[in-house]
Amino acid sequence: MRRSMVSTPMMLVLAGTAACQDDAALPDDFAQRAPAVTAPGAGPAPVVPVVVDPRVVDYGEALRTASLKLVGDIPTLADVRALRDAADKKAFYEGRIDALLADPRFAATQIAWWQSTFKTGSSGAADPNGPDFDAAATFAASVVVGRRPFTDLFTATSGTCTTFVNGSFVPADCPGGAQAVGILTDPGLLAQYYGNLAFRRVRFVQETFACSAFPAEFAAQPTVIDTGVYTSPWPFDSISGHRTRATPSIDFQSTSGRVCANCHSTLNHVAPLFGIYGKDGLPAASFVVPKPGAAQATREDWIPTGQPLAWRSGTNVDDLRALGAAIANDPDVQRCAVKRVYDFAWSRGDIVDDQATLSDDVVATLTDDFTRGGYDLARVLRSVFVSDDFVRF
Amino acid sequence: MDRLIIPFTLTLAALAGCTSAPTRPPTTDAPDAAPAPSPPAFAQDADASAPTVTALGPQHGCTKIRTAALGAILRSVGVAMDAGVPGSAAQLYVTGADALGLARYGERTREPLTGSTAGAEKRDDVFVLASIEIQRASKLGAWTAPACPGTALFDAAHELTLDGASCLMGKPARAQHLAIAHELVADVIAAADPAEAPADARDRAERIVVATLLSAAHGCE
Repeated sequence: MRRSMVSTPMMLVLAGTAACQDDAALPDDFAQRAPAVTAPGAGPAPVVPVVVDPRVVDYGEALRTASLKLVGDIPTLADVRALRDAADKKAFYEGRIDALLADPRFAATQIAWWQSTFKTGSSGAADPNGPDFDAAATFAASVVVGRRPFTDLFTATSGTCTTFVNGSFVPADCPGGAQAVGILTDPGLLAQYYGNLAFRRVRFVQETFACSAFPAEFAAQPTVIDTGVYTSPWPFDSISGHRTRATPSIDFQSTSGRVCANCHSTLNHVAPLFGIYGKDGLPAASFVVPKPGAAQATREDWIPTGQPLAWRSGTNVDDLRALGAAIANDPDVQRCAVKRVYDFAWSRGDIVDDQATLSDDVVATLTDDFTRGGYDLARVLRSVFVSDDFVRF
Repeated sequence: MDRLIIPFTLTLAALAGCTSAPTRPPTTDAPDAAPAPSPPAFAQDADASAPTVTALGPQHGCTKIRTAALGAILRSVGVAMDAGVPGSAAQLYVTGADALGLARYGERTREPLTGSTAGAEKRDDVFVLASIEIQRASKLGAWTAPACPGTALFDAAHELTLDGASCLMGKPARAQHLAIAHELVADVIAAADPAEAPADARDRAERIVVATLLSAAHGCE
């Protein structure tokens, strides 16, 4: 298309768009990279129209989006010029990513990112007597910025009610006196997710750290219970309901609508661990979360007597500390952390809320590096931002 | 609003969002040297008898500019962030925060990651007001963008500068940006009401250029 042909506003629009698709900009191996569909014995493969433009390397665009994500602002003109003039753009770009990760603003954007991930933070005027709704996100940010193991989110025993003062993280112990278990005992988080039978808290942990909604576990073979299909690996009678109690508070074994136990078989084995934390997020001596129609739940509302507490079927836990360790050791949780970073960098939305799911294969190399590299999430961030894929647009 | 704003906005938006290297008009620009290509992340080759579909690789998404980052961008390109000034970009940025997208943590809701139509319109309205401030300051030689100190947005011949465009976009501008901006200014002046002072028409055209570059470059994170 020649500029002399551009005679109307609409043609200008088309010209602007066409500039992105000019044949001369295609890579040499484009024909080999174009998708093709073949079938045995069907002769030459039909040509399939390419519906996705081939991407080209653009370090300028990569630096802009990385800068916005890591420090919340666009690059300075000095950096833009330096990149434009750099003989080795890849080396310059990677150096800038390292500088952004070391930038003081990275801490603030990490806090905001964890607030967004946790969906928690101060809202309106702070209540001086209420829990700190920023502490969990601030602690998580301090773990990433401080290059501490990501697993500290579930295993740290002190300093988890972190504040951010004058550009520095200030660790402090949470109120309540009980020993911390990472963010699992954070009063602000527990208050934020207070609700009947502590299910909201368990759902938070599952969706935030395992990257999937309930049901969380599936049996190798589903079974038919009454008129429903039961898919969990837990025995159907491992939770409370009409088959295990004469008058259950809530019939988790109901199959009249959905098969409740598909989700609750997992939920109910975790939730009692969070049941002793009240509306203020602080621990009590006994269960203080409510249940429908009553002020307090009892253990038998969740599971029959003798049933273990557990993170997953086969991973029993005695207390929150053991739960934190089980979560930290769960490969799904480790992979989830990497997937969240990947989705963040690639502007893909939330892995659960926006269903921005990823194949395990896509993050296999990153996850392997993450687990071998001391669970350093900042290292994963760097790996994603400097990858050859990321700098193509 | 000038009738040319929308089509030209779309034109520049298409080009500013484009990262391929168009070959016409001739330019000294070239796409960055390509590193060794990665294997397609989504290639599937498990079953030789099955149809083979190979994607070209993962694609970047388009999450919206976070509201806090939008404020930082405005500040970086020299917009005064005093929300007390009526009709200012800063005031619209602050009062329009609901439409731009805010977290409501009391309701366990994060700031939306994807943009809304209302949010995009509000963001562009902010950019239009920002363009008035930036162009006015540039004309007076008083444009002080913290991200680009000492940079001239337009040169003595009223042409958009490469550094000025790069400053607004936060990435290296290409010759095409300048060429289309030049054409945009010329067309707006040519289409101006004869009763309008030529200097006023030029100011208006330059504001359209600034707003368009901001909008096109910062539609996504």
